[in-house]
Amino acid sequence: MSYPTGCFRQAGGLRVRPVPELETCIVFTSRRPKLYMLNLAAWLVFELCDGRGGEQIAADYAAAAGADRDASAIRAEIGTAIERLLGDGLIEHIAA
Amino acid sequence: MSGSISHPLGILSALPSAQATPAGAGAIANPMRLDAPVKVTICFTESCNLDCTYCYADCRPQRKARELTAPQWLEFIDRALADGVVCVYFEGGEPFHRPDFPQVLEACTRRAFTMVRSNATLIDRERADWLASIGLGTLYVDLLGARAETHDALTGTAGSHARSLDGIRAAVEAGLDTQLLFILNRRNAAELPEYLTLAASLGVSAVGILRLYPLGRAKRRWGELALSLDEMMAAIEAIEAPEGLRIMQSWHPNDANCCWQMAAVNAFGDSIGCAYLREYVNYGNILDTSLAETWRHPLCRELRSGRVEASCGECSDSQGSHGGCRSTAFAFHRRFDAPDPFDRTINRGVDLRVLPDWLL
Repeated sequence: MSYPTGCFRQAGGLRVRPVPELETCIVFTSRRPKLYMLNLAAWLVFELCDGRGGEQIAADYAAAAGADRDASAIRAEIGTAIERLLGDGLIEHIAA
Repeated sequence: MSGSISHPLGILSALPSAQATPAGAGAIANPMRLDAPVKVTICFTESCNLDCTYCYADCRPQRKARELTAPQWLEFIDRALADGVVCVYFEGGEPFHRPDFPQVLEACTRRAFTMVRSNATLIDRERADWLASIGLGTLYVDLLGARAETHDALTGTAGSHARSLDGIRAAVEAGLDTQLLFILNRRNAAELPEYLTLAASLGVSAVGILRLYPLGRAKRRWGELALSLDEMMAAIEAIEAPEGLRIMQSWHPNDANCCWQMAAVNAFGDSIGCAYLREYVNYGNILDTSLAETWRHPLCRELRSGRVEASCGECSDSQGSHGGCRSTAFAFHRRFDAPDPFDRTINRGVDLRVLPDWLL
């Protein structure tokens, strides 16, 4: 799986409550009132979406996930996470 | 990955069940811990425009003088959100019965996921549109029967069924996520199938079937309203959900011990853990103690730990907690670590039609 090119940042109007005790991050979107619970993979990608580009997110994610992980599996995780975060309006695509 | 969650009683009940641990010998405790609450229930008022025979808060038409004012609630909400709360659930009484409720609600909706439990009789299309415009998350409506005579008898108010239906239709038409709450009791159990058909025709997204709690006026009418556990289970097991309608119920195998994630404040500012614990606990008043401090109250910590003497394995697997509801466990056993008698696997011969003397 590939992930969209370009840079990503967290959308506006979010309220974020990390709950490390439960290995989840709860995100409230005010634009369309909904709550989302991010698992660890999605949470990490969400955190990395601070204007970084896709390649940088992949590199930083891989560094955090551990060197022993399969590169294609990591790319798949990132691709899925970005796709879902974009779809749910939690991150947005910005021009590089 | 991410997913939306909703539940009338425990907003976090959709947490991964993989965190549940099997019930076994020795100490049983919830595997989940929170350093600060995620959700808070605000019992905004004990006034209501209806006169329900079972009212848990023993509501009256007039607001009680000790109820917190809107500025006091707004200050509390500011602090709670700063402490990490992301979900606010308003209930009553009837919240819209107090004219200052919209002001408080509007101050919340853009900062947290908000839910309101209402009888919907005070919601017309204009108000429904307003609720949608300010970003209300979910509207829960207490509708107690499929038939007007059943609902009106339970609410003690002629015409209330028709008015609630009008409010529900207005909410659905306004695009609000609208869900119905059905408190299962002797007066309405037989019409549950008809009720679900009505709910589907109204276009609501879900129906929550709730147990009757021995609180407030329900205690005094228990003999005529309470069902046996076998009768409740027969009603639950006979459910055939209409297509597209989500059904939520808290009996076996979904009996959760929600205390680990519950925070609630009554109309007078007392931190009571859960609206269903309103007669049993008081962790302090939020006018002079922060919600975070009451979260650390010894009894609150004990209840959040989920330590219980017995647990149902299937419910633990589905809910990620042990022992079932602490309110009904305490009501029937007078111990907070007792098994919940509403779960048939740990009922231990308790006849739910008969209240213990200490409650009366």
